[in-house]
Amino acid sequence: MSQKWTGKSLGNGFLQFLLRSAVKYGGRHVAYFISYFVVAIYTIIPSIRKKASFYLKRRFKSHGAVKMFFHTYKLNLTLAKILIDRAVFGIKGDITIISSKQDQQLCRDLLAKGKGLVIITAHCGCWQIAMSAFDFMEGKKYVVYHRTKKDVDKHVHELSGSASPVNFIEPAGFAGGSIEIMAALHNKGIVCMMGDRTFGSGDNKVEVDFLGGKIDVPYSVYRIAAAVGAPVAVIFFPYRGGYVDSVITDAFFVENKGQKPQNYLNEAQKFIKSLEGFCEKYPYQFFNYYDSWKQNQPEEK
Amino acid sequence: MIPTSLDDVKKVLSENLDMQGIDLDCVKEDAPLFLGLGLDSLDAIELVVILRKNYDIVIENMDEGRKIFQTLGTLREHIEKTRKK
Repeated sequence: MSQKWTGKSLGNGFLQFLLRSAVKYGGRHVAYFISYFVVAIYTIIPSIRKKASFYLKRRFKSHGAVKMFFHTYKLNLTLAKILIDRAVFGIKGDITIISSKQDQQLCRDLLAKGKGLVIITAHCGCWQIAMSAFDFMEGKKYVVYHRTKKDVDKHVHELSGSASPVNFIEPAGFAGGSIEIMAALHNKGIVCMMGDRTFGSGDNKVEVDFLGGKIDVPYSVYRIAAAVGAPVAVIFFPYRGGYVDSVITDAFFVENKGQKPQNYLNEAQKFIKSLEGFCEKYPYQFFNYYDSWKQNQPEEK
Repeated sequence: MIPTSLDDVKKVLSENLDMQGIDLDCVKEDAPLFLGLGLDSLDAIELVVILRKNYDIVIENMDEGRKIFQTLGTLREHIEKTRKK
């Protein structure tokens, strides 16, 4: 049976509390130590393994049950460590986010065009602390983010008790957040959006190839960029164990090709190709715990 | 101020948005755009584009957008007051 995205956090509220307390009173390494055991217990639970299997079976096609168990453990452990680092960042402010001088300059150059900047990323690496990496850029920063009641993960600013450095745009809000996004870009803002998961209007999708199958991804991000003339930067945030990298894999302008979803297929596919490259390099950092593929079984090679 | 009738606005919307199944002749000025006319987030993008392209109107912020796009009537009023062409 296919399992769709619900917005529910993988760990429960108690687990999140436990890890946050470990960070607060013991530090990062104590929390890491606890996570090895907690994640092992979690990984034994069949429903958790099933959630992880949709992606892992496609990333590691020919691997058997034992190997798959370890892949699941590693995936879950990486997620736990990232959540710990996010807590460390929020509670102690202690994490290094690195971006190359070249990437920083590219972002500044794109922003200097005066049309704002659209950052497209995915649910991979340390995407939650992504915008903290852009202190070097001037302009109001926004993240398009839908939070359900089942999502118990705390944001960095909620952990630190400080004001959020970014503004959140709710895609379930008025007009699906579109007007707010476009107004933000018009005012030369920086808007970060997810390119790997559809949300909002049922028509906001275009079918692309991803890891040997077909998935639907949103095209509105490219339509908005085209409509306002904003440049697009594809940025991923791989976790490197204690520090986070911010890497631009692509940057482009989207030609205004009207309203039809298919007109933006190339851009959407280009982004997903970049995401495939990320999954190739960092197989345990794509956190897709639901079945986004249209066919459950990966194609046999 | 350039006088703008409800029919003018309906005509522009029907030319630019997929409004199949909606009899625009029967739609009144107080019809909510996103619930009454069934427009969604994708249509919202096109509405912003239409305002800029047809009337040279830019939505500066969300509060303004929320007021303008409440109903067909609020949209018409805003176009009439602020259009530059």
